[in-house]
Amino acid sequence: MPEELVRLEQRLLRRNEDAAAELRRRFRAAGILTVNLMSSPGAGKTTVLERTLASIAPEPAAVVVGDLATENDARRLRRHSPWVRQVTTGTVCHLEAAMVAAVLEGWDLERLHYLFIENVGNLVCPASFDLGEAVRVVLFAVTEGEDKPEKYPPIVHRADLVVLTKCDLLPYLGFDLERFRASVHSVNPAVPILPLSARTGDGLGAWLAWLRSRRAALAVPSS
Amino acid sequence: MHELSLALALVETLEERLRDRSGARVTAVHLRIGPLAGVVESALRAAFEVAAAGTLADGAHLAIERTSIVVRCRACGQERRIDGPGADESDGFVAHLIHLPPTCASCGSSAPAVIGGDELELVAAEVVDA
Repeated sequence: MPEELVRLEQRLLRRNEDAAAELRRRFRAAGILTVNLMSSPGAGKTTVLERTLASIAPEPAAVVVGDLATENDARRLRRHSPWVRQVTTGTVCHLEAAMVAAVLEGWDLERLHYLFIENVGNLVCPASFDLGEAVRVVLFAVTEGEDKPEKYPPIVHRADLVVLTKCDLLPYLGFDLERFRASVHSVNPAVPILPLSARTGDGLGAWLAWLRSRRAALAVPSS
Repeated sequence: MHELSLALALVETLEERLRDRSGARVTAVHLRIGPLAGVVESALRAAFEVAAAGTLADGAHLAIERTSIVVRCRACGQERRIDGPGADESDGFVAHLIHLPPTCASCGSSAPAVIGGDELELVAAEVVDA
Protein backbone atom coordinates (compact mmCIF):
# COMPACT_ATOMS: atom_id res chain seq x y z
CA MET A 1 0.00 0.00 0.00
CA PRO A 2 1.57 3.35 -1.03
CA GLU A 3 2.18 6.04 1.52
CA GLU A 4 0.44 9.31 1.00
CA LEU A 5 1.59 12.64 2.39
CA VAL A 6 -1.45 14.43 3.80
CA ARG A 7 -0.90 18.16 4.36
CA LEU A 8 -2.46 19.18 7.67
CA GLU A 9 -0.94 22.62 8.40
CA GLN A 10 -2.45 23.40 11.75
CA ARG A 11 -1.24 24.79 15.04
CA LEU A 12 -0.65 21.93 17.43
CA LEU A 13 -2.42 23.65 20.30
CA ARG A 14 -5.35 24.86 18.23
CA ARG A 15 -7.90 23.39 20.61
CA ASN A 16 -6.44 25.39 23.49
CA GLU A 17 -6.12 28.46 21.28
CA ASP A 18 -9.78 28.21 20.27
CA ALA A 19 -10.85 27.92 23.92
CA ALA A 20 -8.61 30.87 24.80
CA ALA A 21 -10.05 32.99 22.00
CA GLU A 22 -13.55 32.35 23.33
CA LEU A 23 -12.45 33.35 26.85
CA ARG A 24 -10.76 36.48 25.49
CA ARG A 25 -13.99 37.45 23.74
CA ARG A 26 -15.95 37.00 27.00
CA PHE A 27 -13.42 39.00 29.04
CA ARG A 28 -13.43 41.85 26.54
CA ALA A 29 -17.23 41.94 26.39
CA ALA A 30 -17.35 42.16 30.19
CA GLY A 31 -14.62 44.84 30.31
CA ILE A 32 -12.32 42.71 32.47
CA LEU A 33 -8.56 42.97 32.41
CA THR A 34 -7.33 39.39 32.70
CA VAL A 35 -3.77 38.99 33.93
CA ASN A 36 -1.86 35.72 33.58
CA LEU A 37 0.75 35.67 36.38
CA MET A 38 3.63 33.28 35.89
CA SER A 39 6.78 32.53 37.88
CA SER A 40 8.77 29.72 39.42
CA PRO A 41 7.41 28.31 42.69
CA GLY A 42 8.06 30.66 45.57
CA ALA A 43 8.66 33.88 43.64
CA GLY A 44 5.82 35.52 45.53
CA LYS A 45 2.78 35.39 43.23
CA THR A 46 0.30 34.81 46.04
CA THR A 47 1.79 37.47 48.31
CA VAL A 48 1.78 40.01 45.48
CA LEU A 49 -1.84 39.11 44.80
CA GLU A 50 -2.82 39.47 48.46
CA ARG A 51 -1.42 43.01 48.45
CA THR A 52 -2.94 43.74 45.06
CA LEU A 53 -6.44 42.65 46.07
CA ALA A 54 -6.26 44.63 49.32
CA SER A 55 -5.05 47.75 47.51
CA ILE A 56 -7.19 47.66 44.40
CA ALA A 57 -10.44 47.43 46.42
CA PRO A 58 -13.17 48.63 46.09
CA GLU A 59 -12.62 47.72 42.43
CA PRO A 60 -13.88 44.13 42.15
CA ALA A 61 -11.10 41.68 41.36
CA ALA A 62 -11.22 37.89 41.08
CA VAL A 63 -8.48 35.28 41.25
CA VAL A 64 -8.17 31.85 39.71
CA VAL A 65 -5.22 30.07 41.24
CA GLY A 66 -3.60 26.94 39.88
CA ASP A 67 -1.57 24.43 41.85
CA LEU A 68 -0.95 20.71 41.63
CA ALA A 69 -2.56 20.20 45.03
CA THR A 70 -4.04 22.01 48.07
CA GLU A 71 -6.38 24.95 48.49
CA ASN A 72 -3.79 26.86 50.53
CA ASP A 73 -3.37 29.77 48.13
CA ALA A 74 -7.11 30.19 47.62
CA ARG A 75 -7.60 30.24 51.40
CA ARG A 76 -5.07 33.05 51.76
CA LEU A 77 -6.59 35.06 48.95
CA ARG A 78 -10.20 34.65 50.12
CA ARG A 79 -9.45 37.03 52.97
CA HIS A 80 -9.18 39.76 50.36
CA SER A 81 -11.80 38.92 47.75
CA PRO A 82 -15.03 36.91 47.61
CA TRP A 83 -14.14 35.81 44.07
CA VAL A 84 -11.34 33.27 44.50
CA ARG A 85 -11.28 29.81 43.02
CA GLN A 86 -8.59 27.17 43.09
CA VAL A 87 -7.83 24.83 40.23
CA THR A 88 -5.96 21.74 41.36
CA THR A 89 -4.32 20.28 38.31
CA GLY A 90 -3.20 16.93 39.76
CA THR A 91 0.12 16.46 38.03
CA VAL A 92 -0.45 18.85 35.15
CA CYS A 93 2.31 21.44 35.16
CA HIS A 94 0.37 24.38 33.70
CA LEU A 95 -3.15 25.76 33.31
CA GLU A 96 -5.06 25.34 30.06
CA ALA A 97 -7.87 27.51 28.73
CA ALA A 98 -10.50 24.81 29.27
CA MET A 99 -9.59 24.57 32.98
CA VAL A 100 -10.06 28.32 33.35
CA ALA A 101 -13.36 28.25 31.46
CA ALA A 102 -14.65 25.46 33.72
CA VAL A 103 -13.73 27.22 36.94
CA LEU A 104 -15.39 30.50 35.89
CA GLU A 105 -18.77 28.75 35.76
CA GLY A 106 -21.39 30.71 37.69
CA TRP A 107 -19.42 33.93 38.05
CA ASP A 108 -21.05 37.07 36.69
CA LEU A 109 -18.07 38.46 34.79
CA GLU A 110 -19.88 41.74 34.17
CA ARG A 111 -19.42 42.58 37.85
CA LEU A 112 -15.63 42.28 37.78
CA HIS A 113 -12.91 44.72 36.74
CA TYR A 114 -9.94 42.39 37.04
CA LEU A 115 -9.29 38.67 36.84
CA PHE A 116 -5.89 37.45 37.99
CA ILE A 117 -4.90 33.96 36.94
CA GLU A 118 -2.12 32.68 39.17
CA ASN A 119 -0.57 30.00 37.00
CA VAL A 120 1.14 26.87 38.30
CA GLY A 121 4.61 27.77 39.60
CA ASN A 122 6.72 26.82 36.59
CA LEU A 123 8.77 28.90 34.18
CA VAL A 124 8.58 26.46 31.28
CA CYS A 125 5.21 24.94 30.47
CA PRO A 126 2.76 27.82 31.12
CA ALA A 127 4.46 29.78 28.33
CA SER A 128 2.83 27.62 25.66
CA PHE A 129 -0.77 27.82 26.85
CA ASP A 130 -2.86 30.89 26.07
CA LEU A 131 -5.56 31.40 28.71
CA GLY A 132 -7.39 34.23 26.99
CA GLU A 133 -5.54 36.79 29.10
CA ALA A 134 -5.11 40.42 28.05
CA VAL A 135 -1.65 40.64 29.60
CA ARG A 136 1.08 38.24 30.68
CA VAL A 137 3.12 39.12 33.72
CA VAL A 138 6.22 37.16 34.69
CA LEU A 139 7.59 37.47 38.24
CA PHE A 140 11.15 36.86 39.33
CA ALA A 141 12.30 37.18 42.93
CA VAL A 142 15.59 38.87 43.79
CA THR A 143 16.63 35.60 45.46
CA GLU A 144 16.57 33.80 42.12
CA GLY A 145 19.69 35.19 40.48
CA GLU A 146 20.05 37.81 37.78
CA ASP A 147 20.37 35.49 34.81
CA LYS A 148 17.15 33.55 35.37
CA PRO A 149 15.28 35.38 32.57
CA GLU A 150 17.71 34.31 29.86
CA LYS A 151 17.56 30.73 31.11
CA TYR A 152 13.81 30.63 30.41
CA PRO A 153 13.46 32.58 27.16
CA PRO A 154 10.01 31.46 25.95
CA ILE A 155 8.14 32.74 29.00
CA VAL A 156 10.03 36.04 29.08
CA HIS A 157 9.74 36.49 25.35
CA ARG A 158 5.93 36.67 25.59
CA ALA A 159 5.71 38.80 28.76
CA ASP A 160 4.01 42.20 28.76
CA LEU A 161 5.56 43.07 32.11
CA VAL A 162 8.32 41.63 34.27
CA VAL A 163 7.92 42.16 38.01
CA LEU A 164 10.95 41.80 40.26
CA THR A 165 9.65 40.75 43.67
CA LYS A 166 11.02 40.74 47.23
CA CYS A 167 12.99 43.93 46.55
CA ASP A 168 13.09 44.65 50.30
CA LEU A 169 15.79 41.95 50.39
CA LEU A 170 18.06 43.80 47.95
CA PRO A 171 20.29 45.30 50.67
CA TYR A 172 21.14 41.79 51.91
CA LEU A 173 21.89 40.18 48.56
CA GLY A 174 24.50 40.74 45.91
CA PHE A 175 21.74 41.08 43.33
CA ASP A 176 22.88 43.12 40.31
CA LEU A 177 19.83 44.99 38.99
CA GLU A 178 21.54 46.08 35.80
CA ARG A 179 22.60 42.52 35.05
CA PHE A 180 18.98 41.44 35.58
CA ARG A 181 17.68 44.15 33.24
CA ALA A 182 20.16 43.09 30.58
CA SER A 183 19.09 39.47 30.99
CA VAL A 184 15.39 40.31 30.56
CA HIS A 185 16.02 42.59 27.60
CA SER A 186 18.24 40.07 25.85
CA VAL A 187 15.10 37.98 25.39
CA ASN A 188 12.37 40.63 25.27
CA PRO A 189 13.98 43.95 24.34
CA ALA A 190 10.97 46.21 24.97
CA VAL A 191 9.35 44.75 28.09
CA PRO A 192 9.06 47.07 31.12
CA ILE A 193 10.52 45.87 34.45
CA LEU A 194 8.83 46.79 37.70
CA PRO A 195 10.64 46.35 41.04
CA LEU A 196 8.22 45.53 43.86
CA SER A 197 8.16 44.66 47.52
CA ALA A 198 4.85 43.25 48.65
CA ARG A 199 6.15 43.43 52.23
CA THR A 200 6.96 47.16 52.32
CA GLY A 201 4.60 48.24 49.57
CA ASP A 202 7.40 49.80 47.50
CA GLY A 203 6.44 49.68 43.84
CA LEU A 204 2.84 48.79 44.58
CA GLY A 205 1.61 52.15 43.31
CA ALA A 206 3.37 51.67 39.99
CA TRP A 207 1.98 48.14 39.68
CA LEU A 208 -1.59 49.31 40.32
CA ALA A 209 -1.12 52.20 37.89
CA TRP A 210 0.11 49.77 35.25
CA LEU A 211 -2.94 47.51 35.79
CA ARG A 212 -5.34 50.47 35.61
CA SER A 213 -3.76 51.82 32.44
CA ARG A 214 -3.96 48.42 30.78
CA ARG A 215 -7.60 48.12 31.79
CA ALA A 216 -8.32 51.61 30.43
CA ALA A 217 -6.65 50.61 27.16
CA LEU A 218 -9.15 47.75 26.79
CA ALA A 219 -11.96 50.24 26.36
CA VAL A 220 -10.25 51.83 23.37
CA PRO A 221 -11.32 49.96 20.25
CA SER A 222 -8.27 48.66 18.44
CA SER A 223 -7.95 50.04 14.93
CA MET B 1 6.55 18.19 31.29
CA HIS B 2 3.97 19.80 29.02
CA GLU B 3 5.30 17.70 26.14
CA LEU B 4 2.77 15.05 27.20
CA SER B 5 -0.06 17.57 26.72
CA LEU B 6 1.40 18.39 23.31
CA ALA B 7 1.69 14.72 22.37
CA LEU B 8 -1.93 14.07 23.40
CA ALA B 9 -3.07 17.12 21.43
CA LEU B 10 -1.11 15.82 18.45
CA VAL B 11 -2.73 12.38 18.55
CA GLU B 12 -6.19 13.91 19.00
CA THR B 13 -5.63 16.19 16.04
CA LEU B 14 -4.49 13.32 13.85
CA GLU B 15 -7.57 11.29 14.81
CA GLU B 16 -9.81 14.26 14.10
CA ARG B 17 -8.31 15.22 10.77
CA LEU B 18 -8.05 11.66 9.46
CA ARG B 19 -11.44 10.52 10.77
CA ASP B 20 -12.88 9.96 7.30
CA ARG B 21 -10.09 7.55 6.34
CA SER B 22 -11.12 4.62 8.45
CA GLY B 23 -8.44 2.04 9.03
CA ALA B 24 -5.66 4.37 7.86
CA ARG B 25 -2.34 4.24 9.68
CA VAL B 26 0.03 7.13 10.21
CA THR B 27 3.65 6.14 9.64
CA ALA B 28 5.26 9.55 10.07
CA VAL B 29 4.28 12.96 11.41
CA HIS B 30 5.93 16.17 10.24
CA LEU B 31 6.15 18.97 12.80
CA ARG B 32 7.56 22.49 12.66
CA ILE B 33 8.92 23.76 15.97
CA GLY B 34 10.57 27.08 16.75
CA PRO B 35 13.22 27.69 19.40
CA LEU B 36 10.82 29.88 21.40
CA ALA B 37 8.13 27.18 21.60
CA GLY B 38 9.84 25.73 24.66
CA VAL B 39 9.73 22.13 23.54
CA VAL B 40 12.27 19.52 24.55
CA GLU B 41 12.54 17.25 21.56
CA SER B 42 13.49 14.07 23.42
CA ALA B 43 10.61 14.59 25.87
CA LEU B 44 8.18 15.11 23.02
CA ARG B 45 9.36 11.94 21.27
CA ALA B 46 9.02 9.89 24.45
CA ALA B 47 5.59 11.34 25.21
CA PHE B 48 4.39 10.78 21.65
CA GLU B 49 5.37 7.14 21.79
CA VAL B 50 3.15 6.72 24.83
CA ALA B 51 0.30 8.92 23.58
CA ALA B 52 0.20 7.22 20.18
CA ALA B 53 0.19 3.65 21.51
CA GLY B 54 -2.94 1.83 20.35
CA THR B 55 -4.01 4.69 18.07
CA LEU B 56 -3.76 5.19 14.33
CA ALA B 57 -0.33 6.75 14.90
CA ASP B 58 1.10 3.85 16.92
CA GLY B 59 4.81 3.64 16.16
CA ALA B 60 4.80 6.66 13.83
CA HIS B 61 8.09 8.49 13.30
CA LEU B 62 8.28 12.15 14.27
CA ALA B 63 10.06 14.31 11.69
CA ILE B 64 10.82 17.65 13.29
CA GLU B 65 11.74 20.70 11.27
CA ARG B 66 13.28 23.43 13.40
CA THR B 67 12.79 27.06 12.50
CA SER B 68 14.85 30.09 13.49
CA ILE B 69 13.91 33.17 15.44
CA VAL B 70 13.21 36.12 13.15
CA VAL B 71 13.28 39.70 14.39
CA ARG B 72 12.09 42.77 12.51
CA CYS B 73 13.16 46.32 13.30
CA ARG B 74 10.20 48.47 14.28
CA ALA B 75 11.83 51.51 12.67
CA CYS B 76 13.35 50.40 9.36
CA GLY B 77 11.70 47.02 8.82
CA GLN B 78 14.98 45.16 8.44
CA GLU B 79 14.53 41.45 9.21
CA ARG B 80 17.17 39.21 10.66
CA ARG B 81 17.32 35.51 11.42
CA ILE B 82 18.85 34.41 14.68
CA ASP B 83 20.03 30.87 14.54
CA GLY B 84 19.84 28.85 17.70
CA PRO B 85 21.80 25.70 18.29
CA GLY B 86 21.84 23.52 15.20
CA ALA B 87 19.61 20.50 14.82
CA ASP B 88 22.58 18.22 15.33
CA GLU B 89 23.57 19.80 18.62
CA SER B 90 21.95 17.66 21.30
CA ASP B 91 18.23 17.45 21.52
CA GLY B 92 18.03 19.42 24.71
CA PHE B 93 16.12 22.59 25.34
CA VAL B 94 16.22 24.26 21.95
CA ALA B 95 15.78 27.75 23.32
CA HIS B 96 18.88 27.80 25.49
CA LEU B 97 21.16 30.77 25.25
CA ILE B 98 19.09 32.77 22.86
CA HIS B 99 20.16 36.37 22.86
CA LEU B 100 18.07 38.76 20.88
CA PRO B 101 19.93 41.78 19.56
CA PRO B 102 19.06 44.86 21.61
CA THR B 103 19.38 47.08 18.55
CA CYS B 104 18.80 46.80 14.81
CA ALA B 105 21.97 45.88 12.92
CA SER B 106 21.14 48.22 10.06
CA CYS B 107 19.69 51.38 11.64
CA GLY B 108 20.55 51.02 15.33
CA SER B 109 16.97 51.45 16.59
CA SER B 110 16.29 49.63 19.81
CA ALA B 111 13.98 46.75 20.63
CA PRO B 112 13.31 44.87 17.41
CA ALA B 113 10.06 42.88 17.35
CA VAL B 114 10.16 39.09 17.33
CA ILE B 115 8.07 37.94 14.37
CA GLY B 116 8.98 34.25 14.17
CA GLY B 117 10.42 31.43 16.22
CA ASP B 118 7.53 30.24 18.38
CA GLU B 119 6.07 27.86 15.80
CA LEU B 120 4.45 24.70 17.09
CA GLU B 121 2.74 23.28 14.05
CA LEU B 122 1.54 20.03 12.63
CA VAL B 123 2.62 20.18 9.00
CA ALA B 124 1.67 16.83 7.49
CA ALA B 125 1.20 13.14 8.09
CA GLU B 126 2.36 10.18 6.04
CA VAL B 127 -0.62 7.90 5.79
CA VAL B 128 -1.11 4.32 4.61
CA ASP B 129 -4.68 3.26 3.90
CA ALA B 130 -5.89 -0.06 5.17
